[in-house]
Amino acid sequence: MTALLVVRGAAPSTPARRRGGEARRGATDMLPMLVGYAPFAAVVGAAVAAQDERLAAWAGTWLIYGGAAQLAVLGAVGSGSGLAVTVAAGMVINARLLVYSAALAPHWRTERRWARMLAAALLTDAVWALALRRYSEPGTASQRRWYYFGAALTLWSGWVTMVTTAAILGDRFEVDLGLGLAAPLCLLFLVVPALRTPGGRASAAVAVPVAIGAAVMAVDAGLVAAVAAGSVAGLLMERRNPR
Amino acid sequence: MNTWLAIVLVGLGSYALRLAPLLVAQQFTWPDPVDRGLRHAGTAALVYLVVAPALGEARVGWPQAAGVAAGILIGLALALRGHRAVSVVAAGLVTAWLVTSAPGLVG
Repeated sequence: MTALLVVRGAAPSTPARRRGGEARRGATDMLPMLVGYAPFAAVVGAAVAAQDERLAAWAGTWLIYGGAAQLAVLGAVGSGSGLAVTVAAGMVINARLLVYSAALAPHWRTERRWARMLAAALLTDAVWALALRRYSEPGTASQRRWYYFGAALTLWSGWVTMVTTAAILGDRFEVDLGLGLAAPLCLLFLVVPALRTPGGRASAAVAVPVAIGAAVMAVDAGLVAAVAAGSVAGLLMERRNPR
Repeated sequence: MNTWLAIVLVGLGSYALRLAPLLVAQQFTWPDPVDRGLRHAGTAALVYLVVAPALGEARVGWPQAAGVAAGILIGLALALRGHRAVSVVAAGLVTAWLVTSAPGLVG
């Protein structure tokens, strides 16, 4: 029995097995986020169902791949806004993706073009945060890549499925507003590691009043302002508190 | 307005934002302050995405506002103590529900 255990324990860890392990780990880490996003997906699905051009509205689920931006675009379409205003409404919200991608870029420098193109298509808030957390741990480029794809594909497939289901159910699906806090709580969980550094805390401390101010003044560009202010505040704090 | 055109344009624009830095990463190396600034910017974006929807939930009325604040604080406390995501979300939601429902339960 002992010999059997030793043999099993010494089984070689093949690259394929390591890739699968990392992808599963990414998927496992993403699953709780997926549950948290479910109420938000229901809201987006209901908005899709309410559109005249439902197929186009649904296509935004994977073309835009950002619930808030998709809602903004559908809202602008529904209110009869012009094309420029509608596109701007979506792009302002998704502008943060440029920041996420730029922050990930150094880790993807040696990857093949197809991998970078796929990674870009799947990039969103939770994927970015989980990827950065994984990059801070030991591992090879291959392991990190498969972790990323495991997490990102789990979120993508789950999100599209949930929005599609809610869109099909349409007004037969009652959205429980009591669960509307689930997605913010997911993101809160993801942001906590950054709060352990002075720069991260400064960035967060600046983003909160910017978000409140933007809500009070109904400013659409609040997210962009928070990103810019948070970046400056974080760097200034690091300069005051060098490691 | 053509919904398809708006969706495709925003989709293409969003993909360009996602892809451009990853494509040029082979040619350029960000200076260290830029790299750190980008991380802080991402942190600020996530915090904004926590606060903005929470404000939307809280706007319904004062019991909801108190519930949202309590839920966020409990979630933050648990996350800082290293609890798992499921625990953070569940505890935050239950706390928010309890605080929001408290006036009705009491009186």
